[in-house]
Amino acid sequence: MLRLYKFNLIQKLRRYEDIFWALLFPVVLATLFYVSFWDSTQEQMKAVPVAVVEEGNVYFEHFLDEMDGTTLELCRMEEEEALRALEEGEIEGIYYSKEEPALTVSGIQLNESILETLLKAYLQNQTLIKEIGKEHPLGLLDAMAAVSDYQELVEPVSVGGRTMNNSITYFFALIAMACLFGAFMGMSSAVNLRADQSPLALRRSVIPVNRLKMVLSEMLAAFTIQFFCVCLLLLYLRFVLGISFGPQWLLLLPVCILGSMTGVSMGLFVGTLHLQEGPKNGILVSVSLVMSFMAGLMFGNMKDIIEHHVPFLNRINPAALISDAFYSISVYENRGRYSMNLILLGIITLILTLSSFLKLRRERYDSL
Amino acid sequence: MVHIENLVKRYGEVLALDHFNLDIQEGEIFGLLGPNGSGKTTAINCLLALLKYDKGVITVFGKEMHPDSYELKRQIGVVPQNVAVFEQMSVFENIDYFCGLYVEDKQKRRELVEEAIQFAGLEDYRKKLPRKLSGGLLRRLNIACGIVHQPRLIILDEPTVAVDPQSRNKILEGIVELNRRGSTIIYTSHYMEEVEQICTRIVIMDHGRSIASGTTEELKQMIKTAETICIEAVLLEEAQLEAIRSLPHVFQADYSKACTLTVKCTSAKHNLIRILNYLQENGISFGRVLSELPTLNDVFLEITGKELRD
Repeated sequence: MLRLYKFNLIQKLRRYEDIFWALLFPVVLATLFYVSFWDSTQEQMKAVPVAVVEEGNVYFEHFLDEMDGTTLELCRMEEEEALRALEEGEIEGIYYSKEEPALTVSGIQLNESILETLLKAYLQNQTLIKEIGKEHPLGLLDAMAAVSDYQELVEPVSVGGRTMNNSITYFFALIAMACLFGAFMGMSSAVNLRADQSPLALRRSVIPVNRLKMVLSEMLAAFTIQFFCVCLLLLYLRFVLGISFGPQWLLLLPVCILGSMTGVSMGLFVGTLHLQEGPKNGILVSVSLVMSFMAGLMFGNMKDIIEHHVPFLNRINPAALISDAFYSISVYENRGRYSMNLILLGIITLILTLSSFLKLRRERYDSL
Repeated sequence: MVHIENLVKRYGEVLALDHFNLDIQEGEIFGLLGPNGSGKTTAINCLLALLKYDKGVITVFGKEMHPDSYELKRQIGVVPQNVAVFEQMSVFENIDYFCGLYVEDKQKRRELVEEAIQFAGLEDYRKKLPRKLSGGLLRRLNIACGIVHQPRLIILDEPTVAVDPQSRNKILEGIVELNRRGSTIIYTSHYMEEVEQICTRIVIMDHGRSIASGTTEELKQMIKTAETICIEAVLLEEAQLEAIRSLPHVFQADYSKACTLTVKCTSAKHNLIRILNYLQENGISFGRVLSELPTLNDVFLEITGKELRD
């Protein structure tokens, strides 16, 4: 098994076209992204557009007004109009200024998180503000100012302490794409294993080696190289381009491991299809790019838009899961969401691997 | 050693193997001869448990062959029709890889790999990648990968296709040498000269059926033609042609527009002298004269009514 693994490793490392897709292409794309828009987005975060439906809570409205133009971009609306604006993505949320203030958002991204944090901050302090309003009306403004200072705390920052940069979404999607490009190596493995796919596979089908060993050694070699390439990409992003992933960067490794496995198993699955190598390559390029696009590779908000309208797609799109797992750790520090993404990736990988193995197991063919 | 009985294989409506039978004894160089599409490779793939078949029994070394018959496969070496090597690995690495799938002992493996390299005449190319090799050398590498573990049974499926004459001779000599060292060989080809040159027994296939089998001599004796005589630049009238046809042991005489007379005779002494005497006695001048013994192509032609290379 070890010997098979070693030979597979050598052979795959010398397939330069696969290495190009696994490493060079993502590195070049990352560099282009960096040159194109990384510096220009180092500016302050934009205010979050939010609607206020006035229902009589002047304290809350005053609290929100204090943040208008800085953290928030307030629009006063009727409820119906606000809901329509939220549906159309013009605003990120709706504050209901009733006695017990409420918030409606349509997703769980950074901006929604800011709105929620502000509301929580207000609710925690509302009793205090009300009492000050009743007993020391003159001190109300100072109290409001003190509470409003909270906006400094909710300024979007990465867990690494740097101001959050919206373009990080592109880089997360890019890493996801790099993981999925492991599919090319997975496909080569399948082509080298099915006797009806290549003369080499035919020869390898008449050797006295257990089929499971063959498949596993191929997969393992493909995964090793893919994971190594993704790690190199991460190092390039961190140390050459200077993109920070926060202090919990070690938690990115399980994502890269599972992401690479998903990529390889996806390629293995496509490789077992009864098609020529050209069309298979076409399928892999298209599927990887579409998935990465849906994860925000070309349009940063795409994942959020999908989350608003067809959230299920984000649950079955490996690129979105990888990107979101990065987000959960680097931005939110949300371990639950991170774990859920990993679990879903694991399930997808398992399904693809088992399906592939069923097609790659030792069998007789109808024609060769 | 190999037994195939009533093997039937269909590709949809096409009958690729039609109750095909085969028996190969240990120590033979067994030739499967037939035109392209006659079912040779299909038979080999069924034998190797790669292809599903509709009916029939296949046993190798007395045991039924299955996809997971690893012990049987350990004793078989396969040289597929198309070159099947790793493009990214050198000559040495390729041979070593395939040897390692059969032989675990490192020292033994090293010896076998060296032997195979020498056997295939690839000593000067051991570090070269396959894409740097000529067609003939590539074929030799393909063979080296299949025989490196010195198997009891070696199956070579058209190993000389698109190979230059020099490499072809080297390959054929090598196959005879492998047999001399103790391997039984199954050799498929549509080149009758090769099969005639090296095989101890031959099956001629057409449309998935075995149409004749035996040694080269036995096959040639099966047919009427024992000698084909060609006489060029001869001017004949119809009556003279009829007279030649009526000569003893002549069973066919054709006269072409290029003034060439082709006469086929059954086995007898002095066929050529008899025909030349007739021409001289009748004052008929003639040019070059050729006398050919029957080939396997004649066997195929007489049995099927078509050329082997049609």
